[in-house]
Amino acid sequence: MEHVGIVGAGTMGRGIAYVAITHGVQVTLYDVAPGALESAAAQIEAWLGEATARGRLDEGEARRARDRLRLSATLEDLAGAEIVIEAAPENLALKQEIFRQLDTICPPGTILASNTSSLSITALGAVTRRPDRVAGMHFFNPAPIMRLVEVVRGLATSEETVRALVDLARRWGKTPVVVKDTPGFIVNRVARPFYLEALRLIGEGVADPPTVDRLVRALGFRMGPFELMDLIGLDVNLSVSESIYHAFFEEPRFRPHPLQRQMVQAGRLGRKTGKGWYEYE
Amino acid sequence: MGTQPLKERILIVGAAAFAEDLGGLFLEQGYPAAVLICEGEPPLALSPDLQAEARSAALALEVLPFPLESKRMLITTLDEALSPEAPLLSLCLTVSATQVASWTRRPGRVVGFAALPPLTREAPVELAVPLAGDSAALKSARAYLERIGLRIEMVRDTVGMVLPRILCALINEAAFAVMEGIATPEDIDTAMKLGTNYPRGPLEWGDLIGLDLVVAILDALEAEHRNGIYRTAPLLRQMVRAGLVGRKTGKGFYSW
Repeated sequence: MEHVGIVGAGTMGRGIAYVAITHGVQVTLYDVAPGALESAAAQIEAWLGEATARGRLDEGEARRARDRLRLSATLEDLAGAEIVIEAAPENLALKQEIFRQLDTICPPGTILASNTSSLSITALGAVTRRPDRVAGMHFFNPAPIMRLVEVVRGLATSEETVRALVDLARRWGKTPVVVKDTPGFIVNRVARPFYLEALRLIGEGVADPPTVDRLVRALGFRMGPFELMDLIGLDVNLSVSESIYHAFFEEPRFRPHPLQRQMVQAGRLGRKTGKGWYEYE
Repeated sequence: MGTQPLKERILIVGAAAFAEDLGGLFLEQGYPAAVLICEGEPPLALSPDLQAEARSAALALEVLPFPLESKRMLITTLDEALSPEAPLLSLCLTVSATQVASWTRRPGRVVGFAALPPLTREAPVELAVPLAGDSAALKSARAYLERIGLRIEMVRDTVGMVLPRILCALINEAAFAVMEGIATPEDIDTAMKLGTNYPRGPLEWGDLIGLDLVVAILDALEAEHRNGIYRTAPLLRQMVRAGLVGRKTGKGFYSW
């Protein structure tokens, strides 16, 4: 059976693990944070229960999926995996340390992929002796539902590695797109103007957030930029903007907006704090 | 007798992409609409028929998005031909309504609007009053657009208003990504539709709007703001030079 290792049992790691075990793949899910594995296992159990209740999986399939999941707090347990997907916190030094260790533990043929949304795949590959076998495999949240996967080609990533991850994503029922290792890849980069232009418009007093949102929805978008910022969290949205702005050496197109920083300073982070561009119950 | 009172006459002059859709919407609601198509070069003078049409029009719509010099000539011609009380709705994608008003002898009659093709019922339309504008003209123009089923939002007058600015900025970023070879146009559009639930990919959208119009809007925004934020992707300019402007020429980022 195909065996995939996943590093990090947070929101993304557990979501990817669920996708893998429900597509016939054995998963070793690794984490060292206290309680992370237990919480991930409970979440995966809940998803399996929900899928069974809705008739998307039968009892046998759910049981077999459950049996494919191994939990581990020992990185060496990932040595048998053909592909390892790293989904640790977005911190370059931490991820590089994980890649260094994986490079020692895993056989030379193993592909080491990262689910990073903002860090350089090239910089992760560079700390290993197999940069050709290092690539990005960026899932979107929630991973069990979102179909898109960005397969990211680092400067040294081989065509074979890209192809293997594209195939894997397809077998898992996902729609892969291939993108060169550049700041924000496709989605986080191309979506910047959706937020930034909307912020500039309200900053100039051209329209208020509800007007902008109504107009954008009238074009067929499910949510306007301000509603969407409230859902994502203004702090998260600002930090993505800042990261891409600096990664492009302060290219003016990506310049974050002072109004958004002010909202974050005020603690108006969106739905999660009950107040952002709108107020929530 | 079954004769109905005739509705007010409407005059529409400008690019086919806007004039035909708007003419269709007015005719559907029983308004006698005269449509004169001109792309790029406007007529220096209106034909005698159109002179009469302009004199009797209760509302005129000028829908030539660019170039600015042609738009200015057309506005001047219409301003002279229209009856003094007729509002003049001008398509303001590459210019502010305030600037259009400055070209007329009656700035109070000008109302700016922004919309992007295709203009169907329920399509969003933004209205802006020039700084030297007049609320009577706005009230009248707004009522006509609402009667033909368009969704009206009021915004403050600025080049490109809201939706053209947001969409063109998205299209421009996607075009930079294509130019830099980071992914194929198909993958970029797929990623935006699946990753962020956009109803269309930005490049497909650019092809539908017309890349020549997208470049004209971006250039106008850059000229107005001078901050580098609306710097047009050189690839877009190259595609326009090559005639690859999208659906209307059969080829842009996609073949149509």
